[in-house]
Amino acid sequence: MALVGALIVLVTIVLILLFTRRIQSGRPVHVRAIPSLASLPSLAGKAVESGQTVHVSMGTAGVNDNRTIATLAGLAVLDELADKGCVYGSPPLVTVADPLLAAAAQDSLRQAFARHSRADEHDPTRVEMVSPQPAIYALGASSRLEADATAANVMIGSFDTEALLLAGPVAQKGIPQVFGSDNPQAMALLVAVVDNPIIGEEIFAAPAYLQGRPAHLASLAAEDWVRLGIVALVLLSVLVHTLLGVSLF
Amino acid sequence: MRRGIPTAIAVTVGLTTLVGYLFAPLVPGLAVHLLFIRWAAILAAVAFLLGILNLFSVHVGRVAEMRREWPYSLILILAASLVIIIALLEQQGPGGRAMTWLFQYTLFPLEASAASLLLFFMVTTAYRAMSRRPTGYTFLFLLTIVLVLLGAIPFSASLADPLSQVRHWVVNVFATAGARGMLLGVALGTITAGLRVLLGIDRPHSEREP
Repeated sequence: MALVGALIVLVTIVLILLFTRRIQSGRPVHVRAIPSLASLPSLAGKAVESGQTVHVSMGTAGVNDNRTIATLAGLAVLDELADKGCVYGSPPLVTVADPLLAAAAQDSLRQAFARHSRADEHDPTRVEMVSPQPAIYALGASSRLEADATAANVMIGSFDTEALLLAGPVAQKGIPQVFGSDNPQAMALLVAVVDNPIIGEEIFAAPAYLQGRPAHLASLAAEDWVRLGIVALVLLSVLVHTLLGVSLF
Repeated sequence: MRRGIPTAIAVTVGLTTLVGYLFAPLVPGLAVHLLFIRWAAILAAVAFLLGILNLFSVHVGRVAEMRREWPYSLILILAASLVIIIALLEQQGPGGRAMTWLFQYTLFPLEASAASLLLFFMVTTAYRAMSRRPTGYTFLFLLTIVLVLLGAIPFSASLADPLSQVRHWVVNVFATAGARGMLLGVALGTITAGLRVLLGIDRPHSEREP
């Protein structure tokens, strides 16, 4: 099985490099539409217009465990929203459940202010560490939103089912929400309160949508092709097993 | 150059660890990745300590400047200091008697109480979904919930058996297939996003250009 894993990783690397060259040479790559990700920049704009803020949550995982990649997807979204917010002096409010992630989020805001030559306006208290316990984090973040005038709630990262404790009250107030998690159980619940949720691996497409760098777009295209290959392998395996009674894997 | 060297080190270590995990079963003695993992555990502990110190500095600043909601910051500082002092005095880590008592009688009840609210949120969510957006998918969603719940209730055998079979079918065919499909996609997304990090394209090695 290690060999299969190695093969998938190698094929993915080759595809990323091939698609990157293709994009850099000016040939377009098809990227599937994800409405919630496309709406993120406009959410920041609306928040500024209404004098309110955008709340960003990057999940209940940290940056040093097996869910780190989902958290990094959330950080990529924060980078973008921080960039938009800092231009107009309305940085997002960030709540986290991990002290290391708090430092990373503060760094994201600091960089955003520095890019726009407004480093002196950076306020580290815009990032709040609520609690490492998922349920308490969700309730704490929810009450934090009550205190602040919030124009939108963006939750992208690794969430458990407790995310409903945060997204539920926000939905009741009619505040626009963007939600994406790598956890199927959380998605099953949140799909009932969020319009156009970002499902599963779509959260990893956030950098491609928001920053649009060739390597990001290439990795998205590579992912789609590898998925097609795996689907074909699964179908082939089912067919062979049904007709010949032989298991390929 | 300032960022180039750390990025080069991180990329080399990351790719070496990946190769170690993928080829260790095929090449006996290839264990350098285990050494890196041990180093990473030590670094993670130091980083966690820095994270805690950063948290303290932010909240001490908030109390010193008497900013909005500063009493909460004071409570955080006092509670965290108390736990750290108790752990240092006891010198038995999180398994010590006083630490266990603290966790058992403060943190766990709080967490359980908060988690128990989830049931009520789920019911109100289902109700709101029906009242706001009664689409075909919403009906399907609720029908599935009702069927699975009924299948789990211990009725008499004549009624329970068919309901249990329906529940078993829904959970093992539709739910499992959907969850596996999503997990497969998440795994692929994790691979591509992880490769972007390992190749130095994404955070934490790269800062955005102005």
